[in-house]
Amino acid sequence: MAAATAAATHEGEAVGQLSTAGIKWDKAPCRFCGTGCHVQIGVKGGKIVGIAGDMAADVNKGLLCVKGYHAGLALYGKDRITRPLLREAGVLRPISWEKAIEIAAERAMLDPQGFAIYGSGQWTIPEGYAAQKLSKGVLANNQIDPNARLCMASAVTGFMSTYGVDEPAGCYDDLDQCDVCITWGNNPAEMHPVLFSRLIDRRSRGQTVQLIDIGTRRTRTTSFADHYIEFIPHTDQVIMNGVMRQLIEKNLYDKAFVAAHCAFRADSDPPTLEGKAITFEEFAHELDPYTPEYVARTAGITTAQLELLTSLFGNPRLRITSLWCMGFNQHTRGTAVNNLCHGLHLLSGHFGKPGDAPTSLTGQPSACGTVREVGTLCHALPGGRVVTKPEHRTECEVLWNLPNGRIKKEPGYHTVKMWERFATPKEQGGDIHTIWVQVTNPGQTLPNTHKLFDTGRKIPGKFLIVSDVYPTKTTELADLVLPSAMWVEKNGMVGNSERRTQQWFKMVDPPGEARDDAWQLIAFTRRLYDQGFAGAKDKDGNFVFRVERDGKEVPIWQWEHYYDVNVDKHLFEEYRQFTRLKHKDLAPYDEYVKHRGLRWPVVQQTDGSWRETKFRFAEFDDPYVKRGAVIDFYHSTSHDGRAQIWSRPYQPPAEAPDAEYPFWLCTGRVLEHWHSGTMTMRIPQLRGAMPGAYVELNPEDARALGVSSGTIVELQTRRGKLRLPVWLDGRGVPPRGSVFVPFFDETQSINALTIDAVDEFSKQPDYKKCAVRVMKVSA
Amino acid sequence: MSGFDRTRRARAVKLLGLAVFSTSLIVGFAEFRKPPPKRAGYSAAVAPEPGGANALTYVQLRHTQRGPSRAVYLEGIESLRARLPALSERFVRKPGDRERMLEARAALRAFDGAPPTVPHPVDERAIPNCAVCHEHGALIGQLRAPAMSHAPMSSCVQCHVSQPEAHGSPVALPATTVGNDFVAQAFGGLGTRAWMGAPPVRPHPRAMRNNCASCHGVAGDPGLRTSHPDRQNCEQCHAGPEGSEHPTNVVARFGGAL
Repeated sequence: MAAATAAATHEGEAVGQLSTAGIKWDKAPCRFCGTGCHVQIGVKGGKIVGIAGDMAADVNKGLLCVKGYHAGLALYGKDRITRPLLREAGVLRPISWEKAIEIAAERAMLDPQGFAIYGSGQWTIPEGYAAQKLSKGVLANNQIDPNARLCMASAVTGFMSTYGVDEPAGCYDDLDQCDVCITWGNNPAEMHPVLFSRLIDRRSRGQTVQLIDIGTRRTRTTSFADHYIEFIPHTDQVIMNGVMRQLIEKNLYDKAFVAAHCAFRADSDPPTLEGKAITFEEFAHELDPYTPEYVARTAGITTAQLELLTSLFGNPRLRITSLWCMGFNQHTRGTAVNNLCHGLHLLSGHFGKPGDAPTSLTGQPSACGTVREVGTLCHALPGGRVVTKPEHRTECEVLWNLPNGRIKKEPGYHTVKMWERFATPKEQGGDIHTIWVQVTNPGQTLPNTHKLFDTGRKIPGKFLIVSDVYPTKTTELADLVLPSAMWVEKNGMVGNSERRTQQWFKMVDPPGEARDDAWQLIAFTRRLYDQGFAGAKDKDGNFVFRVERDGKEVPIWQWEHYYDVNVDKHLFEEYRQFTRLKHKDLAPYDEYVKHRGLRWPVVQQTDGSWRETKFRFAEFDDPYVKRGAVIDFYHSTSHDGRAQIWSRPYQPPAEAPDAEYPFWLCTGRVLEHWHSGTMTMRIPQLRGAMPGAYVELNPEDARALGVSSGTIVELQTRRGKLRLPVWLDGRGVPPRGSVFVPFFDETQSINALTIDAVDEFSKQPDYKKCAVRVMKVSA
Repeated sequence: MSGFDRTRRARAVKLLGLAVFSTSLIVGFAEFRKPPPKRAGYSAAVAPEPGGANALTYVQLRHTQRGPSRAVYLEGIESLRARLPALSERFVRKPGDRERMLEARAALRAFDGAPPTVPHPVDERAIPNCAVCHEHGALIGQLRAPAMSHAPMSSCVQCHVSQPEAHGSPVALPATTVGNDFVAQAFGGLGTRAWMGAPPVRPHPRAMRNNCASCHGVAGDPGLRTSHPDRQNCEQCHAGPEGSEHPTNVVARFGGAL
């Protein structure tokens, strides 16, 4: 009996569960960020009653952060949207689902080319795939883009232009192995807490981990750092160019690695992601201006700090992992700084060994799985294909059984342009008349919201459809609101920052009439089919989302039949066929049911089992690397197995402080809240811990302005203004001349002030830098 | 300066940083005057007694002269730890201790198993200081700093967050907030005994609660303290829960090893 008890205990702890009887436990990836922790969800009486970290999960090994532990409460905010709502005479009134789908379909029938879909990195993989097929294959207008455009588009263009294929070569295992971790404008202690603990708790076990924090504001991450290098916003470009110059001048770069695996690139005219080839000598010559003195002066750092970075990258015995997220990506030189960071690792040979890799982090649970891999972007097709390549269009038409020529070759509008066109009258070129928003809150998260969001609503003939779970800044202006099921109220699959594809099953019913987003898309498409819309049919006249069971079509567009089959599995198995082209092979659905996620490429072995890949492009782990090549960039843009080290000279920011607007404004997240706070602000423990927005000032600036913690100040930019309480010595401390405001608070939305200037390649806006003035309002 | 003095001095300097932090907590506790808003726990919260002033902020503390009581600050940590009862001290639970403990415990958690929220201000950035009090636990008058129930992890505030009555943000909780209908699984009850006098079965898993003494030891709440803290190998007598359905469910459903 003792032995049996011990065994049961051991198993119980493998999943880190609570002991209360009568609770059914099941696995799911966390609802929130891109880390991809697995949680165990306890359900009793049809409701979630508890959450535990999943001890069997590679990513988090039983640990969660405060958001994850409270994720179950996100379902139970009292104001869940439970019925479809239509705005009539300015008021949202309940209507039937049938009527709601009919109205949405009418908008598409009116003018299919002007009907856009705005989605998210929180779409599950099957949802994103359905939306992708609807946009590219049914409406055939390519008018689909995600909020991930605002989040990691520059990381994508950085990977594409460097390696010829998207997503990191390394994985989280690097955090267990690196000697040095460099956080570039990144605050993982708050934004990726579980990964940060995975790294920093190695110190508690007696291991040495050097943390170098390079940023524009002191954060919780800084308090753990061995070195903090504070630079003037936007000059990260200068620092990285400076380090590369030093590595070459001091002969510390990895000559063998560069000779075997790298090529050099510079901007072509006109600029493209491929650029033009240059020689090493030309590359080195371009670095000439970045002398230590110039770098120190321009970036506001010391030459000793530059020397420190040079000595780290110049030391081949160290394993160096670079982490970055929005600091690099939300940058008008986002592609360039991504290129520079990859270049630094390639030039110094810190690549392709465990612990030695440049790794970008994502902010959403499926920015990678859905947006980047399924390709829910205006120019992309599934599996790394693009609409501009005829062979890619043909492959998709074949796999989707669509008539030849169905897919349009011109890309649609990227996010900022889509909303600009929606906010512009038709006769002035505003050709987007309807946007259907799913799983995101652009009313709060678009930059410069007065221009991109609010004005659109004053224009007759425009129509906004929003699928969501709670009222938001976006539903406030919606014409049609569709109640959605969330997280474990539906089946799902997502893909995290380390190429890990994860799966879960529905565990509880959605409230009221709330329904799956994928169902909404399919029911909408079926309505088009019933109306005789040609695009909703494949070339045999069948419904494009046809699902069969025992040779008979299942009417999945009828909600009462949606769960007769596992629609997720059908969509995923169809999508999986697209994933081989770029060697991002996914395993069959049932493999993901068994695991806490698998990292692609997941390649079938001779014994029939499926093997995940931790480290890409390196022979010791990646099965697609040629035997004997050691390192092989098999999607190289120069078609010779080489990665590109880019020459990326400094370019100034879109807006910088001046006499009129003397401060830098930086925006971002906090530990307790996730993105626009729609879910986390309804969780008492999280809202209690971080109840509202504030502005961080440097104490010296505060003294000069005569303000202290709690004083209300007004922030003004050229685009908008906002009143906020000051918080000194709080979560972060900005340097003099800089302020920081979090964006989670819908009652104090900072994005009315941010700038909509974008990176030239990724079209991602810069939320981290614009000019602001601070006015004292009250004592 | 004698060798003794030098040692004392070095130790004093080392302790100063820690003492400043922990003293602020003590001050925060002792001078709490504002009636706190209802906590977000999973059952009726036990509100602390009203009374006391707002805690000093860290900015204020930084500018506070530490005059005559300097010695108290410098010796603070050591003396707090010294107040923990001896392992050999006889402990008898009073009626109502357990009920009060369960309520207080629930008030700090969203559900049984959630990381407890922090009932005092925390420094927003100097994270590892939590361990000063919570590594071994401490008693400050009637106030108890529980020891960590799990192995020390560096980024404490990743899981444990302060609530509005306590945290350092100048931002007030909005007057009107949306409620939440989440109904938590509360503490599952005491462990069963096979017969009168048998050691009770541990009623909860060990994950994140592998240091039994944190709750059941001398620094634990009277409602949870054991009568025999001198015995260190708890699981020798207190077996884990048997026959709980959850792990086997998961294994069966996924048809393979975890």
